[in-house]
Amino acid sequence: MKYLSVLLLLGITLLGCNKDPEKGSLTLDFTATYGDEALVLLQSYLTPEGHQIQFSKSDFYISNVYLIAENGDRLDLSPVEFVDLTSVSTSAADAANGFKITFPDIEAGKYTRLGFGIGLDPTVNATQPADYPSSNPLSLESHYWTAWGSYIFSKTEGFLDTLGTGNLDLGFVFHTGMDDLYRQAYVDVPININATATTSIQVNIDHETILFKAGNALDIPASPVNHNPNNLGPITQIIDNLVSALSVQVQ
Amino acid sequence: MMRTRASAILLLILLSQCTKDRPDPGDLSSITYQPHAYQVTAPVTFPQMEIPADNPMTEEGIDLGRRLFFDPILSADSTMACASCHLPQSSFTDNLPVSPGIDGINGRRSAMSLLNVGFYNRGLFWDGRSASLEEQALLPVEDQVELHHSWTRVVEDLKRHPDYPEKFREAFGIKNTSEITKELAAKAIAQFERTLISSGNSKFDRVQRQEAFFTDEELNGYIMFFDRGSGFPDAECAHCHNAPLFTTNEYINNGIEDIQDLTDFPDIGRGAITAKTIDNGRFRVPTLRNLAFTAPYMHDGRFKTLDEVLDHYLSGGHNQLNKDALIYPLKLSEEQKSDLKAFILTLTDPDFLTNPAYQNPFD
Repeated sequence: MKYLSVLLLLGITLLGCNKDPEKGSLTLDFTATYGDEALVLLQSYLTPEGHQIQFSKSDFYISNVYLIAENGDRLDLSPVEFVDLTSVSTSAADAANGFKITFPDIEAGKYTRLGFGIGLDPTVNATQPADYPSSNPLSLESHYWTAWGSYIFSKTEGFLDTLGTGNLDLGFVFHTGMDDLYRQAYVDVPININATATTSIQVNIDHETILFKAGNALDIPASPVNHNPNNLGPITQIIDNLVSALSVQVQ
Repeated sequence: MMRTRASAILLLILLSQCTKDRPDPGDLSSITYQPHAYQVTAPVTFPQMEIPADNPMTEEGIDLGRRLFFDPILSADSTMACASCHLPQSSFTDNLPVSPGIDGINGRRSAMSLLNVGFYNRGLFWDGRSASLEEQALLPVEDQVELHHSWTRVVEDLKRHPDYPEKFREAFGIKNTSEITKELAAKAIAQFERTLISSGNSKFDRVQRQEAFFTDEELNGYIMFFDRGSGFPDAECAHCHNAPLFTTNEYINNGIEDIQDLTDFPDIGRGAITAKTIDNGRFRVPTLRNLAFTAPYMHDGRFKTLDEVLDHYLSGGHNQLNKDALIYPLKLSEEQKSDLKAFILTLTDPDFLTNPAYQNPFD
């Protein structure tokens, strides 16, 4: 009888060992704002100077998305994702809903850090859209700049009223790219992944900060169209400001 | 009474015997079905073509698709085929501003070139309303201003045709003419269209392979087209016409309409598909490859020459809220404009036009 109990206990223990760890999912919910207002394309906002500004396009690549578990282990979630804010900023309702990227099959547990690259690391950036199937975000011909031999990491486009007359007289186009402009971003927040619900993290991008961060504001009229490898100043500002423009809230 | 019943039974037996002995006229099973896989070949810089798993390319499927593409059997009065608006010698367009259908009624838009169409994975037609070639090939037959026919009647004609049942058998392995469908016809046409690929012999492609050199003018144009610096202005072309396909397949408003409000476009283009006002006036960016043969230009064929197109882009076009921000007045001299044109013409690929595999099989 005693042996039988031991065998039963061993069996139960072994069964417990074979059980797969519980899995949950995580959604990154990217939203766009201009200051405190939801960003809607072709809607006017005010610059720090009080002039009107509108946006017509906003997107960027994130890469090497990862979580750090409580025990310090790194869990890689995705090599590359394309955050297409343009597609969700056509109305206030869509803008509020955000651009969602879901990562399934994450081991349930507690995590302490979310991190990702903004842009593409040099290894990935050495590839080209033709190397990928159309289902891969790296297949976008519109986001590869032959002259740089680089992907376009982010696009920020729109129109500006330069004179304060209410007339949007100047288009602006800022395309970032090249290896030197790859940036890492992370946030240390408690993230609980559990098997019964999807954990959601809202990542907001403030476009006022992208263009007009205090102490690092762009002079748009001086260089409204910039994708010149010999003049990386404005797009370096853009990519650095983009990192600063991110804020995170765990739902 | 008994005698009558016996006679009737005998007659029935005889009739059923007759039916059994008569061969099914639709039976195709005696025809060999042995399809030969077709390997797509394209310039090395091109992306991998994505072939639907349920429509693998075969020599027999392509042959059938080519016949259907050139056969006016697809139109109600048997006067027009796909090839009536997509002519091989015009890089598979028709050199008309907009294309008339069988009733002589003009369509709304210019026929798009089918060059490299198998590589376009982000929507077809000017407004992107079809997701695949198989889906696209179904539409012109029943369009009232195009072939103005019905697939039901087309399929009946194909079933009765002396050659097509055998061709469908060889391409798709059907066992009976009754299995011919519009979906199979569309699959065959799509297979043929996926073979319409650049020869790789344009001057641009040969320079890429270091088999040729640009002239000074072409090189200057190349620098401006791709914004390679060296003291030349940026012509901003490659944003939408990036190599190797010279289209990014995006939908943009390039400022050709002089209207004030986004609801005023005479043709709202992409907006009709997405139902988003911001997409009004946006159209798919066409390839620049072989544009020497594809005039007139734009979705409504409004520009007769490449010079008119260049003048439009140099002017910056008309302003609307959703005009692409990269279309603004460019400060190019006449000489630089000429250089830009010289480069664009290096995308000319006459070998594509004369490829025997693309010609009318009934000639």
